[in-house]
Amino acid sequence: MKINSSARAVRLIILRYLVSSWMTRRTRTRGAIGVFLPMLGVAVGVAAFVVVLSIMAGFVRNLEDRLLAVDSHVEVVVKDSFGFIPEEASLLKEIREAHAGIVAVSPFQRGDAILQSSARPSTVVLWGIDPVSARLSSQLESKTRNKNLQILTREISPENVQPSEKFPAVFVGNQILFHVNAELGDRLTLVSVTSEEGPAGLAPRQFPVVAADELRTGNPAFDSKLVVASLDFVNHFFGTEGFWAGVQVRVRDPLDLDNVVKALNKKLEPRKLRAKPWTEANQAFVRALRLERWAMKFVMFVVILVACFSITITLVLAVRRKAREMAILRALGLRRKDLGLIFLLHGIGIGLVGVLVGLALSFGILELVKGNFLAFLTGAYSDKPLPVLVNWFDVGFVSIGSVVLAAVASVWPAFEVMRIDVVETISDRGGFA
Amino acid sequence: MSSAIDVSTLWKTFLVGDGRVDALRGVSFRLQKGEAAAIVGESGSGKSTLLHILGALDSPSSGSVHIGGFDPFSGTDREVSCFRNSHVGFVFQHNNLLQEFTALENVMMPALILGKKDFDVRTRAQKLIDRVSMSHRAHHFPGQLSGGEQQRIAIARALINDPLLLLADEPSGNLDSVNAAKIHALLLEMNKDFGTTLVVVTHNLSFASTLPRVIEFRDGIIVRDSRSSMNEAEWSV
Repeated sequence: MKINSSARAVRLIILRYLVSSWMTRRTRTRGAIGVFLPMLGVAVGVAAFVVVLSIMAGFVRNLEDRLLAVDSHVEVVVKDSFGFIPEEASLLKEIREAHAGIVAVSPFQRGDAILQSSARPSTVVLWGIDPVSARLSSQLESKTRNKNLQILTREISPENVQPSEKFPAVFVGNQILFHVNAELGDRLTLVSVTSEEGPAGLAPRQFPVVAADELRTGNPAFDSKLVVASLDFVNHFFGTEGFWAGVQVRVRDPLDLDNVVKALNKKLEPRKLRAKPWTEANQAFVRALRLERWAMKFVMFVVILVACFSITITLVLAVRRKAREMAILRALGLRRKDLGLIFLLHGIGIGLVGVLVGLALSFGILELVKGNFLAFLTGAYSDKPLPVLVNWFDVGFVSIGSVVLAAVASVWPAFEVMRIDVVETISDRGGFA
Repeated sequence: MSSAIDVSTLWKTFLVGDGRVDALRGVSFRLQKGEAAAIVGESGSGKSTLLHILGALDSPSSGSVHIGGFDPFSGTDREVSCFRNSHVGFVFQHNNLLQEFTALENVMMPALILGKKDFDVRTRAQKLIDRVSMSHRAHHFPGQLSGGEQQRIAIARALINDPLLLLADEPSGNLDSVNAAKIHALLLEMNKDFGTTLVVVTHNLSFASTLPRVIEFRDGIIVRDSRSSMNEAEWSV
């Protein structure tokens, strides 16, 4: 016997059950119950997942930005945390190649100092960086007014002392400027906290500098303490020429540092150096962030799971309601597995439409959040728009996951419809085996 | 003349609770291609059970059934479904049509299941709808049609694949006498025009008497198998 393909009929039936049943007034109510409600459930779940996780990711990025405004993701320092690393270009190359997740490296020098204006002094942390490589290894440049680290390589004439020679440029935390009552362009003096023997006895080292730019990191720990200068100048200031305090390392994912740190420690062991991740100093905070991220993902996925249960319930009801039609289709020549396929694809279709509607809904909401159109919701938190960061992996994960869940949710109804007893159903005597 | 239906010592037993009910008890008969027969008898006499077995919707407990020389119970679900689709047309008592599809689409459905091309199917479906005088209702949904109109569409649908066998189970059972008469006339017309073997289960004895052959069932056995004198000569083997 010649076997024919019933694919065209199956396709027509699925499309009609999914879409066209809404076209007629008579069948619209059924369509609404059978398709619209579970689809809306999936759409709301997907939208909630994307919106909540995008805003959460935005918050996390904001916090990371503040914590890592100046600090790098990883610092390579000497193992006992005291002492310096001898300047060596090959070390930078070695660190850069230690792991594929490392995107930039930059040497630095660091120490305590006093910044003195004509009004008052302030204790500061003096940070020496290589302006070329530090552009890539930290966010420092974006936290300055002029967005140009190259200024640190220049010598500038101060605006508050006339006539004057030129002095090295430094960037000063905006709260320090306020504290010492100085302005940008002013001549300031960096004073060392240790003294050394001079012609007049023991005296601290003093270097005139010019406040060429201000730092605004949003983190008071930096804005009230940090003075940034070129690496050469800071080495000269501390008398540590030919040495680095450490090397800043920037990685792709600052929350996934374990492998990078392991690779670096393995490679740097012979040099008696170690990798110190930023999370070491903020361990509790990072753990809380990770836990919150996973907890939120789990909760949102449960929302979608519940929506998918509604697909199961709706389809099982549809199987009962359409039992006679299914029996007639069997009498017309559809196979059992064709009936199963109709309900399986029906469920997948509902899931797919739900995901598309949910994504459209979520991106619409995120646009409103970005444009601060939902200020009435966020006013208690900030007068600025909520931060938003869409993680495309999460979006892909929830989209595919929802369709898979919808497919799984349709398996039982598909088996139910395959069990219909055609004779019993057509004879109006029930019909489920 | 070759047999369209060849039924031999057919038994159908249902298990009900602890007991068993023999719906068919060793039924045997033959029907030639193009023949039309009415199956009559009291409720529970086994008429509908026989019809379901002839349409391969149900399987016999024992005995053999051959439709056009094919034993529908020897194949897989795929083969039996294909057999039903291409060799059998059904008209049930009521609610025959798929509610989400127009009359035209309902008529097209068996041919689409068969895998025929949409254009050819549409053309043939339209012709059949014209043939059952339902052209003006082709694009209406079942809910917009009367009971008699729905049965006309069901008859057109049953014929779309040009089947060997047209099985009707109380096709006028839910209709008033005027519409019932129209459906009876249409079934006989289709039997003559298309040469499709027709088996009608009915309680309507006046309609049964208009068919060339009447098979009467009682308690699962054939108690009368009569042909009108004109048809007896025509169908004698």
